[in-house]
Formats: sequence, C-alpha cells, structure tokens
Amino acid sequence: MSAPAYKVMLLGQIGVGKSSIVQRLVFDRFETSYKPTIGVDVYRYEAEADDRPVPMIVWDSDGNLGDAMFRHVYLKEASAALIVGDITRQDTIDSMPAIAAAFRTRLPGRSVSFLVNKTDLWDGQALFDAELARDGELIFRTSALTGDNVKRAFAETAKAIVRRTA
Amino acid sequence: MTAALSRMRDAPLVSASRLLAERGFYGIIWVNSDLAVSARYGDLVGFVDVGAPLTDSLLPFAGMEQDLLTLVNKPHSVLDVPSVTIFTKHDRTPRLNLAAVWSQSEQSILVLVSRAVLSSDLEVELNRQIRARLIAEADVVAKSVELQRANGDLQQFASIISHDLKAPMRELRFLADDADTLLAAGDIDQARQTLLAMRQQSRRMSDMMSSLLGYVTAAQRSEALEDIDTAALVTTIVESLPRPAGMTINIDGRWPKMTTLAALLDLVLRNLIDNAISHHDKDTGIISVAVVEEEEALEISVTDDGPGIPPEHQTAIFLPFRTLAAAGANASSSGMGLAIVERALSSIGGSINVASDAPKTRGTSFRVRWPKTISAMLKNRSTSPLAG
Ligand SMILES: Nc1nc2c(ncn2[C@@H]2O[C@H](COP(=O)(O)OP(=O)(O)OP(=O)(O)O)[C@@H](O)[C@H]2O)c(=O)[nH]1
Ligand SMILES: [Mg+2]
Repeated sequence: MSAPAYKVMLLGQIGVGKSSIVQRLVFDRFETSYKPTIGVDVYRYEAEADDRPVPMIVWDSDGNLGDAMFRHVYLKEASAALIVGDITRQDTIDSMPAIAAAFRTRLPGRSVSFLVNKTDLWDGQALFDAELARDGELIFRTSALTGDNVKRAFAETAKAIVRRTA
Repeated sequence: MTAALSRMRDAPLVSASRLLAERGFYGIIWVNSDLAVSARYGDLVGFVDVGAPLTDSLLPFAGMEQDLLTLVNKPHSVLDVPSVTIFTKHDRTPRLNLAAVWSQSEQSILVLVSRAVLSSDLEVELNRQIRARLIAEADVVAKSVELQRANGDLQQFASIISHDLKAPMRELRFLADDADTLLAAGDIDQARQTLLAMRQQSRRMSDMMSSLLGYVTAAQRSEALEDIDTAALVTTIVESLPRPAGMTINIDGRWPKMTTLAALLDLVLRNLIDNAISHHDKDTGIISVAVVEEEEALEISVTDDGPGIPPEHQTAIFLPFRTLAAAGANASSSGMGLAIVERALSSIGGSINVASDAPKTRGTSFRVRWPKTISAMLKNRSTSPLAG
C-alpha cells in the first residue's frame, strides 16, 4: 500500500486560474484559452516537506458551484484549501475570506491559504495582507503564466498538513 | 419494464451490457476489504490496475477510505462522487460519475463508473461563454464605480482650473496688453519690466500646474508597501529640512516599525514639518513631531509655536491653492501642500485635522490619523484625469 495521500482543495470564483495553477504545478504548462471546469478535476501531485515526499490529491473545483461546494461530497475529508483570487478582479479577492470561513466551518483546523493569482498582469497598488488574511492565512502572490510561487504555495501547504497530522 | 426484463432470457441482457461496457459507457470495479481492486470490467475503467489499491487510480476516493468501508454489509448505502475528471501523467479520463455500493451476493464493494452525460464539447463551450460573460459583467460594474470616482476627480480638477488659474491667466493677458502699449509708446525700459513680470507670472503658473498634478496623483503614487522603521523615517525627514538655527524640532513618542506605504507617509510628514518651519514668524521656535500608537492607527501630531491659524481659515487651508494669495509669488509654496496631504490620507482611509486658537494663543497642531492596515486600498483607488 502506498503512503496515504492528502486531499487538497483549490477553491475560488470562476476564471481566477485554479485549473491553470494545477496545470502549471503538475504538468508545468500554461494555456491562455479559458476552458471552464465542470464538476471537479482531480490530480496527483507529490509535494515535499522537510525533504520527505507528501503525496497529494489536488481537487480543482468548479468556480460556478459557489456555496453549493460546502454542502457537497467533494469537500469530504479535505486536508487543506488553497483559495484562489484574480488580482485583476477585485470582487474575486474580496470573496476569499468568506470562502475561507465557509471551508473552516465545515472542516475546522485545516490549513487554508490564499493565492492571489495573475500577478503577471498587475502593476497596480499593493494589496494589504492583514486586510485579506484576517485569520492569519498564508498569502502567495502567484502567476500560473510565469509559474511564480505556484510550487511554493503547495510546499507550504504540505508543511502545514504534516505539522497538523504529525 | 421489470416484467419485460424478467421475461427475457439472460443472453440478450448480457450481450447488451457487454456492448455498452465495450463502447466505454460504463465500467465496474470490484474492491476487496483491503480496498484493493480485485477485478474490473469495461473499457472505461481500463486505467485501473487490478491488485493495486483502488485510490491509486480512482484518485477521488483517496481520503474517503473510511466512507468506503462503512458501505460493507449495507446494501442500500451509496457513496456518490459525480462529475469528476481524473488526470494521470499522460492522459485524462472523460468526465465520470462514480458510485460505490455493497454487493451482498458477491460480498464485495462495487464501484460503478459511468460517463457523465452531456460531457460534450458543446456543453463546455456553452459554459465558457456564460462564464466569460459573467466575468465581463462584473468587470463592467467595477469599472463604472471607478469611472464615477474619476468623474468626481475630473469635476474637482475642472473647478480648480476655472477658479484658481483664471485670475493669473487674466493677469498675464493684462501684462501683455501693457507691454503692447508701452512698446507702441517707445518706452522700452518699462516694456522690459513688464516682460519680466510676465515671465514671473508664467513661471508661477507652471509651478501651480505641477503642484496641481502632484495633488491629483497624490492618491495613486507611492504604491509600494515597505517594511520601515518610522522612527528612522521621521528622523531623516527632520534632518533633511532646512531651517533657521534657532528652530528646534523634537521627535516624541514611540515610533514603531511597520509595513506601510512608506513614500506616502514620507510625503505627509515632510509637508507638515516643512509647513511648520516655513510658516513660523520667528527665527526661534519649537516644533514637536509626536506619535501615539493605537490599536488600528498611528495618531501623529505636528505642533508648532508659530502664529497659529484663526478658526475661520482652518477649513480653507486644506483646499487646493487657497493659500496662494497669502504666499504671493513665493514659488516654494504653491499652496497645495496641505491639500495634497489631505487627499493622500483620505485615499488610504486616514484623516487630518487642525487645532489652533489664534489669535488668542500662538501655535498650531496638525493631527493625522494614519491607519495601520490601510483599508481597501484597491477600493479607494482614485483615478486621475491627468495620469494615463
Ligand atoms: N495572465 C494570466 N492569465 C491567467 C493566469 N491564470 C489563469 N489565467 C487565465 O485565466 C483564464 C481562466 O483560468 P482558469 O484556470 O481556467 O480558471 P478557473 O479558476 O479554473 O475557472 P473555473 O474552472 O471556471 O472555475 C484562462 O484564460 C487562463 O489562461 C495567470 O496567472 N496569468
Ligand atoms: Mg477550472
């Protein structure tokens, strides 16, 4: 039997780049055309924490599910959530804390982090971490296009999971 | 229907199910009590390895081992995981519906894997269009809010131009007329004087324009968040400002280290301290720059013992160009400093006010509220009619 794999959810509104992030992570590729996710796409990924492999099952969810996500079987036994927002669409950033709160209500104590994505498109004002991460979530400024911080976000999540389950 | 089926011999039923399985409409996986795959049937589940743990190939069940085991001996329970696409290194499955049940007769967990209906390209394309449109609509709403703000800015800008730049423009025209008259009369010396005045006037106007630009863009420059030591910042500012030898500047309170808009804080402090120095009417004096750290904000005060500002002038000092008359042709003070400070502060959710009891008592105190977590920067972002 192989080591247990941890289930990690990618959440966030439509078009913020959840699928692009996991495609960059697993296959190191990026597509500019938008192919919406219907239901969920499930990937295997091996992260690392303190030089040890941490097998993950990454659930790339459908941004259109909205709140229904939190009542869905999809969320069952998830170990962590990475919540993605699109820095060029303020509303998608604003909604991140509420998604985090809903996830925590269903699955208390799990690692939650924020991925502020599409930073390659942004030369505007700074975002205030404290404003966004009210519950101390880690924030990563990512770009699926350039790959910036994508691996790191998952590595930190792996560390948090290992810490919690150790 | 059931009656019809039961009247059938098994053979057509078996051949029909085989046909469907071979065409990849569905597949069945038998799972033993160790949650390893003991058998599979149908092309759709060709990617599942017999003998290996179920979750090695049916990734969506990883983590749900307990839920699978609770199905045992419960013929009526179902564990449904609808609409999943499984990605492997080189391939992806079609969109699948997974349903795990317990088979009493076979004493095994069965996983029925079926192709999700309507997984056609058409459905994906439809979804793409709908979602692309939703995103575009949200963008329009955000843009229109921004546009309203920009319009507000533009209005204010227009009124500044019309009120405050009209008079010096007219003055320039009068001077030109004068020069004309003087030249016609052959009074070269006087004409030269007038030309000099015109040059000064036009320089003053161009100073006004650049400080107006500073004002309009005050809310949007200095975007970088930096980790700074505010004590070091205020000390550097105090040391860099020229002042008479008799002018003492005290830095009071505990200035914290923080992550903030350093350039904007620099702009605010520099303007206030510079004001306190330049509006002082004596060569000796004491200026105090103090801070009190509160839970959500820094309360910064800049207090001087200069002539003070009578209450009736206290609102006007924050308006663009209002001190121009008093400043005369003094190019270093275009009368925009406090207006810029006020605008910059309000763009980050901070504020400024002034206290002075002149002429009864001397001295002015400016109090700034500088938020620690600067609220909704992006929301308050103001668009300038001048900048790009
Ligand atoms: N420039 C840039 N574009 C990106 C980035 N990430 C995603 N995109 C683009 O944004 C669009 C949407 O990306 P997806 O990854 O499909 O978004 P999603 O969050 O999976 O959306 P749903 O599946 O509808 O929930 C695509 O056109 C991507 O090419 C990024 O980091 N930079
Ligand atoms: Mg997607």
